[in-house]
Amino acid sequence: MRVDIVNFALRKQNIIGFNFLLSILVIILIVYIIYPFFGLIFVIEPTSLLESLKRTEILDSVILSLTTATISTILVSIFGIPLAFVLARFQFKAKFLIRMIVILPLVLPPLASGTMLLGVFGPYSFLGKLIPVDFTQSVIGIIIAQTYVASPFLILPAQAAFEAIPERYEIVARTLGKKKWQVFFSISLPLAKIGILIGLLMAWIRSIGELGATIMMAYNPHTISIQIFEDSAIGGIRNSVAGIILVIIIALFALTIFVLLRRHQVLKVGW
Amino acid sequence: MFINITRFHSNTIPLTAIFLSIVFFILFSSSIKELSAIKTIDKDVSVLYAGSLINIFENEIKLAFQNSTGYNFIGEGKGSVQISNMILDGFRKPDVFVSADTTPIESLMNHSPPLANWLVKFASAELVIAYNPQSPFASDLLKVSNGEIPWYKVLQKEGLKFGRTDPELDPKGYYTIIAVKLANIYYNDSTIKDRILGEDRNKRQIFPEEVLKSILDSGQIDATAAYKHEAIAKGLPYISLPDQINLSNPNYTNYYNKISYKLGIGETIYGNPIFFSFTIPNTVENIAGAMSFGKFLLSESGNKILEQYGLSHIKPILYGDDYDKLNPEILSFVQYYD
Repeated sequence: MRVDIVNFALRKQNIIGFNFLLSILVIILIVYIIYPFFGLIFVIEPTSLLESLKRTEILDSVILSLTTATISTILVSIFGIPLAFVLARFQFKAKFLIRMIVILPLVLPPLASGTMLLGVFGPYSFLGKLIPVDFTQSVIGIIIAQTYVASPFLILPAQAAFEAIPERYEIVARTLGKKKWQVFFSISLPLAKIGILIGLLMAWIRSIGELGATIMMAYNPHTISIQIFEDSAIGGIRNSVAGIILVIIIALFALTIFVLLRRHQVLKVGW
Repeated sequence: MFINITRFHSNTIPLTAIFLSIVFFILFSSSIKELSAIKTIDKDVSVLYAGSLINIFENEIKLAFQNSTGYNFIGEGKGSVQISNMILDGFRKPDVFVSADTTPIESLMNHSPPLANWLVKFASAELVIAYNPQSPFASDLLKVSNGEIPWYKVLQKEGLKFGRTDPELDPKGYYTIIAVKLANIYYNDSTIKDRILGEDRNKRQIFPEEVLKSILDSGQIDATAAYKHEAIAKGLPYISLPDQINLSNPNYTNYYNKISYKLGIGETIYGNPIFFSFTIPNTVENIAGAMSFGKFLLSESGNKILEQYGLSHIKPILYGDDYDKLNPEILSFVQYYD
């Protein structure tokens, strides 16, 4: 797209064309997203940053976040992938309702989700009194919170991935004598693989970034999000920069994988 | 240098998956020790404490306590009223509750059934005005320290943004209101409170305690009501207020009593010297650890740390009755301070 002065003069084309407007909007949004990162530069002092990065609580909380996010993602996939398949392939009256329920954790403010989870998993709840396990203020509490808020991030893309597979592949496999579970594992799942992997990545990174529900369910042991929160309460932005930088690194790592997956998806599936 | 996507794909994705699995397995196994939540971990002492103590507790008390007793300090700082509410709702079961002011613990004691039976006052606090030295009003506030202008004139200035905590969540919140209302009496000027604070829960001024430092640093507010020990711990310059207002001097208790604030949940709080207190609530899980922390807080080493930050040490004072309902170990601990 060039702004063609000559054409403009000849009344053939406006300077402010549609493409031009689109570009402006795109640039504004991209700058808006990138701008805060430049702000970090002014808060970073290299020596104190290196000191901060070596603090045990920072490293511990990063490891804890990575571990719990992985476990939560695995849990979500065990239940979420079959659910996505059901929503994609089966017709039944309650389908609309189930789909709404799946989206609920997405629309609820995380603090609200966390409070509700605390109400049913807390020490005085039915489950809390019945089962002698610390569902809250523990690693289990972190996993419960993360699984809850991250589930839609897997289920929705997985459902879209299953829906994108033409059903005739599965039908043909059935007519050739394959059982239903064989069809699922050898046809449906591989064809939906990339979409599901992207969903897993989304669920994983959402779990890393989770704060509101975790604050209620499990303030201790600290995930990296909570550690950043506490560091900022203690000493403002300067104190929390180390944690912020580490999450950015994790996010870049996730971003790289996402980009690779998308390129593969475009190549293989065509969109 | 374009990557050949097709050849890239056939081997790399499975390999990446395997690599990642190995990485996560290593990370996973290195944190196995934290993953057992099945039995109550006897080494952990969970302490819910007033948010203003966050620097002191997380940076100093935690290490000192862990080193001297071997227990793990599992701490969480929040507004004391909020902590009390969470305990009452069953959302938290701390081993120790360290509260600003005695009212949040008294709410637990007055509940039926009582969730706490006693409290020990261990330190007295002082209300000050902390400010950002980079604020445009910093020079004016410095003049207050020199006695050139009264503090309440500066805080009334057009454009000065003042921050404080929610009186419904945090004793510091309601004590700020009480202190400024006392200023009305002390300076014989009934407009001071309205001009400085506006309404009690003025949305423009109220922030959660955890973000106060950040918004002060970034300039969203110029000054905040704070405890002296907080200002010292966070390295902020501050202005002292007269003893008749700053709620630190027991000799002025009758004066402080003149003003009150009514909480949403019904309690009326009267102005009183601010005492930090603690209790071992009835929800305690690690009794030995809780008593160990209590002893540490009241010990020489504990006091030294608190004094360093400007929390004045007082002789521990015990409040409570109904001791016959107490666990015998706690009973002997408590009676030591009677």
